[in-house]
Amino acid sequence: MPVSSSVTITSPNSVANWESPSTHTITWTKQVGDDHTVLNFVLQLYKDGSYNSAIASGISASATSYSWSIPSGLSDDDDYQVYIKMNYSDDGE
Amino acid sequence: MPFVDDLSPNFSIFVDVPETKSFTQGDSISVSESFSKSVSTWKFVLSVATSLSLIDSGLSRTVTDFRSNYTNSDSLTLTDSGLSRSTDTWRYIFSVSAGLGLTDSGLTRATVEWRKELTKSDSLGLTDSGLSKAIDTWRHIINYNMSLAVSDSLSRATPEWRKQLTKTDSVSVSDGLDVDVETIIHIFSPSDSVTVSESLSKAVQAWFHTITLSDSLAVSDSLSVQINIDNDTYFYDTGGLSSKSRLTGYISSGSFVSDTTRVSNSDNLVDSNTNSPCTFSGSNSEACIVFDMTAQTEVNYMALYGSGGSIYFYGSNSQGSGYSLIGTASIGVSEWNINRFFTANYRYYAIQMEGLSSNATLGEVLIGKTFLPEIKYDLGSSSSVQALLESNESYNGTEYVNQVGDAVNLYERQYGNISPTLKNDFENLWIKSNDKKFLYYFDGINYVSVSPISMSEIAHNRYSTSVSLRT
Repeated sequence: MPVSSSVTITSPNSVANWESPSTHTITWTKQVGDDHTVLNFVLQLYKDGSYNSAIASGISASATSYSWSIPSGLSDDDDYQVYIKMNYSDDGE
Repeated sequence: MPFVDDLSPNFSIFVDVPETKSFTQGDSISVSESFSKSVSTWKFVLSVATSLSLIDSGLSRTVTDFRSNYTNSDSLTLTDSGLSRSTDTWRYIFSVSAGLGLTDSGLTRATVEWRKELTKSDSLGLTDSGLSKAIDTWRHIINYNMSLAVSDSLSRATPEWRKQLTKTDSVSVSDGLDVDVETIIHIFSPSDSVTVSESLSKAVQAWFHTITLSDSLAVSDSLSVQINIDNDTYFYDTGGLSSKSRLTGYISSGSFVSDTTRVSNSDNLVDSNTNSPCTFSGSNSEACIVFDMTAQTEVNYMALYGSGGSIYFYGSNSQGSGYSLIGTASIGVSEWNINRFFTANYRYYAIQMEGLSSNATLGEVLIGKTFLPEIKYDLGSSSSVQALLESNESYNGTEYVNQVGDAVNLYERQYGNISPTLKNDFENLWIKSNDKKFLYYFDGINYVSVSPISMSEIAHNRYSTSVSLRT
């Protein structure tokens, strides 16, 4: 059975309570599918289900975490989400 | 470009809220924290009218004041603070009605500041004030009826006490060491209560040497209670009372009002006869007789023989006014009553009976200074009772005796070697009392007359004599 690619954020989780400004680590796990090659990662911040701001892009393919300096200016709230996107190439095509 | 993605669960981000956010009126802030908190914090705290103890912080100063005078890096403990704060700062603190722990301020406040800042409503711990306050400051404080502990008194001058204390002030005797007798006399009136343990700083003259530490004596008692009169004490008319002019009337509020109807037969007071009384009229509640000694005369006892009643003894240097109470006495019926007190020195002495509802009588009065010979009489002296008997013989030769009068007490006092001082004392006794009786205390009160006293010089300035007394 062929293996597909996937990425899953492990931190922050639903009980995270991060202070702004401060620095926290975003972590993730990945599964790389057959004939797939990871190119990089993109991290973004979402609030209330909508895009808020970029966190980082072009993160190394081998990385499994990113140290995020939470900027000041964010409002005090509990509906933030981190979005991760793993770009890859399909060598089998 | 193919990709896969994921979205985390919702999580919280909170903004770094200053500490001020957590402060409420119920928060307690310790002083050690206070100076490291930012001005913003202070501003917050002050803005919500938080109730904070001023001794913690100096919070009565505005943020502006802190900002201008102190920086966040200042480390200032409160006990230190008073020393470096300028007078202007203190003045500022007071002006905002700060409740200020005076222990902080202490000795560095100038007297001028105290005088300026303190009001009746200020709370002043006297232990804070201490020795550096000038008398002027005390005077200021006292004027506001502030409560002073006498333990502070050592730095107060006696003149201050004399000037400021009233009967309502509380004075403990342990403070009395620098209070002189004059002050005690001023402060204490017969209505004051004083324990004997206080008396050590009072002059022996005032209390008499017969009072011991174990005695419990209210002051009101002391002027009238006779304690342990030494044997061989003479109470005679040292001031020549019997020859002085007299006025009759009454004393009210320290002033003498003449009224010849209130006392009759005043001559009988000094006639050496206890059986011929002077009468104080019961038509009025008070009646008195005033003796004009013609000059200030020292007196430390008053002896009365009467029919009962309340006697008040006053003195003044002015005939019509200024009479001060010297002592009081409640006299028994047909008995001598001796009252001793601290030495008074007035020209006019008044003996007033008070609370009269009917006529009252006094048989005799003696005032003067007590005389106790400086040495004890010699061995061979005698005290005896002589019966007055008449011996007869009947026609048949039988002898018999009849008692022809009351027995008399005889006192023979031999002195083989006395000083010129004691010689003069006995000569004065004879000069002042050769024609009248007086009191001699020996195991009781004896109303006696004295026989002529002769002196023999046995060596240069040494004399021998004998004194014969007879009731």
